[in-house]
Amino acid sequence: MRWLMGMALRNVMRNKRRSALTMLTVLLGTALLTLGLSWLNGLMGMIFGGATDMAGEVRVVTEAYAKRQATLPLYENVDPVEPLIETIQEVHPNARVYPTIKTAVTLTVGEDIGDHFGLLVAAEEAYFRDVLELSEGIEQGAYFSGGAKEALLGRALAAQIDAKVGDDLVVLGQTQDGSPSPLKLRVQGVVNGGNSLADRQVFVPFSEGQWLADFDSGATEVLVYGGGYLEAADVASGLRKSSVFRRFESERMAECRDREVSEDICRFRVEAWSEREPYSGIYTTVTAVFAVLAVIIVFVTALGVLNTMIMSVMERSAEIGVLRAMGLRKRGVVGMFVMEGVLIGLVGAGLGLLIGMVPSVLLEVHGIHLGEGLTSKTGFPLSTTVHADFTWAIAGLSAALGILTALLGSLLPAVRASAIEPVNAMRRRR
Amino acid sequence: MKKAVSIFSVLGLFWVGPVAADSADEILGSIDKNLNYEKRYTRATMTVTKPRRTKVYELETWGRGMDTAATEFHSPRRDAGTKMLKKGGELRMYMPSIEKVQRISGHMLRQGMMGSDLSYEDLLQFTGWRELYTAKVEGEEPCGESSCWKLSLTANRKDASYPTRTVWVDKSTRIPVRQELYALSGKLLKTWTMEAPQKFGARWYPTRMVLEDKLQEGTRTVLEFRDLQFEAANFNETVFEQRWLER
Repeated sequence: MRWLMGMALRNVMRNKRRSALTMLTVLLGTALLTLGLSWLNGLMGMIFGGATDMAGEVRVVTEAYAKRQATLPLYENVDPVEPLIETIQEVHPNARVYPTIKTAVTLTVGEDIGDHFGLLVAAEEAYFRDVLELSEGIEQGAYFSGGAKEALLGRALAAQIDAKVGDDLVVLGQTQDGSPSPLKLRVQGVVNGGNSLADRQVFVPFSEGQWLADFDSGATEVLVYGGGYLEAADVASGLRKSSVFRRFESERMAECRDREVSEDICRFRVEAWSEREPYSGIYTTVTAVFAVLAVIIVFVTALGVLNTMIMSVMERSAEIGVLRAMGLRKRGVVGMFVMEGVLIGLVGAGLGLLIGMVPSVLLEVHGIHLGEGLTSKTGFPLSTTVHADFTWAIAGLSAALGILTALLGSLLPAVRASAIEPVNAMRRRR
Repeated sequence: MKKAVSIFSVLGLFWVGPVAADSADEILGSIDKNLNYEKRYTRATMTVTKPRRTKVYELETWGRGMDTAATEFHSPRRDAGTKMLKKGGELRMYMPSIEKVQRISGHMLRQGMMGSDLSYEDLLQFTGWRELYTAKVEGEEPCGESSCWKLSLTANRKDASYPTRTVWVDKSTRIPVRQELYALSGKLLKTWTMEAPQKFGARWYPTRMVLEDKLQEGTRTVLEFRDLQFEAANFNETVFEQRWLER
């Protein structure tokens, strides 16, 4: 082994220019992988982090609500919502559970009613503070003071309706029965919601949302957080399968049957964000882009390594013939070339990782500004600035792929070299 | 000559009489005579039943002709003080919680009044049927203890809320005891029954109406009128002024 290592090192140093070229290929591949994966990771975090902030890592709604969710139906609510929250917390004691109400409203500042459409989000203050982090995003005015009749406006919505802190905000929505339902609120603050969707919403205390919708103690959606967005599918699955939750649901359905009410209003749909459209489709696409990017970079890098290593084999065929004639086995020849590739890969991947980390970290700190125009037109919670997200897992993956690439690139030439017959090699030299 | 006139008169009585009574247009006219008024005042209870809950509204309405009407809701508490004023083709609503008047227009017209099965559009288009529809007598059917004409009505105007209606009209009271309201596609949208008719002077008027929106499962609205007064009703007509809404 030591002999092989020595031979490989000697061969690396023998043709420094070719070795440097091979190393550069691996270096570029690893650097590109580091940067590309960090960027995609940041993009995923922005889209899915934003999505889960607003729609829950796991969302529990009635089946009837899920079927008509595009219209944000108020009638298909969970009322009372407290027993459902208690049940979820019994199954997942560490989960944070927030009841919310989302409904379309018209908003105006001043005398007239109903000039601009917006989405009203009513929730407990803890949801706004801990999940949406609105307390961190106040651009004008102040965060909720704890009083009723207060509203926080997303900055894009505030600009659209020309609302200022302290203005009277007239909100016209509907009760769950479809009757016009107005609210008069005071603009407490204007917030940067962190993404284009949140910037177009109005946030009000939960009690105001319940009054608007005419709920006794209900909510339209129950959002569950625990373990981050990558663990959401497990949390949802755990809840669906738990006997406590199933017993609670069947008791509710029995009540529905007794009251001759559609079972869809009593049955729950528990879904992780990644199981719901449009996020499930985007998640699949982004994951596929991740894989395709990695495969392309690995393939191109491997081609570069393969090219220089084949040249090396061709140049050294006579030498290989002599070594084979002196008794070096085929396995030894393969080992010698593979070791050479791995040595080049180790140095190339190490340097590539260092070089790829620099722009990744810079992008993580500064990000790329996409602009309001682009992000406000999408239906996704996109931030105006996209930041990369470099992690040590990405570093490990990039480096491992860089080394693997060099190994794969040297394997074929090594096999080819091992197939050289000593007699032919000597004759060719002559 | 005198003899000839009297024969024609007698024949005319026999001939014209039954045709006038049975013609669809005449039936519509007699319905309008019953349901239309110059003046009307009533207190009413509106019970809106949905699959999961029932809401009961107490309201008071004042009407002048068929195109002017005012309504004030007295209960439940969250809706107390809500007022509506219909004038011609316009409907305005005063919402006490924000002390503002909202014009009900566009898509809002098709929504149920206070979540009921009676849409705002139903309120606006509650005018004479004879003007709005062309009717055809489809036959006669028993309805309860009475006998009814079955009429099919086709709207003369494109903006009619219900392009076609099938109506069962009680022969004795000339009240449309049951209506089926259809969309242009032929889909049944609502059923509307008028029950417990009472005689007010020369007119019959239902004191109970039941509406069911057939596009929604398990919904039902019952309107029960109390203290119904028509032309003799004595009330202050300031209720039909815009200022009344905000007062």
